[in-house]
Amino acid sequence: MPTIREAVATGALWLCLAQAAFAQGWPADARLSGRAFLTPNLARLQDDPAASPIGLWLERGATSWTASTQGPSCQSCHGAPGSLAKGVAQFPRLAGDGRTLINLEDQIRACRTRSGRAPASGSEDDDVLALSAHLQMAARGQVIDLQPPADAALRETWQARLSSGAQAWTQRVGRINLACVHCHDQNVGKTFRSEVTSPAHPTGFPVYRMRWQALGSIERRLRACYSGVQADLPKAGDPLLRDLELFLKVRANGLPVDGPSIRR
Amino acid sequence: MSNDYPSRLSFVGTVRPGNTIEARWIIGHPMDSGMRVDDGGKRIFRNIIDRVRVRVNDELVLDIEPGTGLSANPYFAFPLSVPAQGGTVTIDWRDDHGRTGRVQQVLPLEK
Repeated sequence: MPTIREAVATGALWLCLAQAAFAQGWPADARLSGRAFLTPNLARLQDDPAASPIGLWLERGATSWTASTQGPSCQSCHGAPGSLAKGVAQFPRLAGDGRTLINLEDQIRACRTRSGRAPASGSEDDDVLALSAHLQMAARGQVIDLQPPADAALRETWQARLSSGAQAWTQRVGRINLACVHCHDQNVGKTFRSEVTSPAHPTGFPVYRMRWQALGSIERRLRACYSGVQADLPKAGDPLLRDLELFLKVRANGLPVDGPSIRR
Repeated sequence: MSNDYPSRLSFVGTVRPGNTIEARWIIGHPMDSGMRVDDGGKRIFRNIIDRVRVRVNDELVLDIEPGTGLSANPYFAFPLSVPAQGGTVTIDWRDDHGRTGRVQQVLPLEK
């Protein structure tokens, strides 16, 4: 009679073989948007404006963009969101102080505060996400384009933050003891239990995740990854998350923005 | 009456008298099942949409009693026959917190 350990080992072997067979149905290209890994049903849902829940946020974003009940509206300074399309594809970037790395949501939060709107509630404020989705929608098709700043001092800071992000990408963390690179670089296209591993190109944020039943920022997604490998969760707004986002965006340079999108 | 929760109603198909079209309605409601706790460990009270009534020109055509099995941001799609003279589709909903909402849209008749 096989011991439990043998049975588990045999089971694991079959599982691996089954997964290898499964994996062939999925793209293994390292330069693909996460959209290529959606099931046909979810892709259809994303494309159907009547059924896609993202529409709720997009409508809210469009309303919020022109609302001037608290201070000037976004539109009064920026005009149509399309005028910012190029800039949207260049986040995260260094803020005016030359030290802090900010992403699109940070920029929206700062902008809202400056123009006198009520402060955002936490890192996943619905209004901020709605505006982010509205801007990303306008930037669809823009190519992600992150370049080091021209100024030498700023470039050095930027480079240091990029290195820190690259470090986070390759650093094993958590009880599962995995780095990002182990799944999203070395095992792209294979299944991780029922999930297909994508190359983690951040083209489609913010995302409506079925598991969250809500729209979420790239920050939330990254924190979910830390949680997935059972590591200490970086706090919302942790500079490490911005560094990692910078690294991912530089890595995705040249890929078109296709957010906001639906994920499992 | 409040319309805090965003919602959208759309029609698919040819809106012509006698035709059957598909009405699609999605509402951004949290649909808290009452089983979850918040970050502080406190229970989040149950809050789901427990009644949806769809009327076409004041005639009740659909009466739904959704349960906790529905996800957040529920989406409803149902067939609708277009009356001879066209008309207005009205959706009234109510949730456990006593909030109610109404979505109203005129059927865009095609010639």
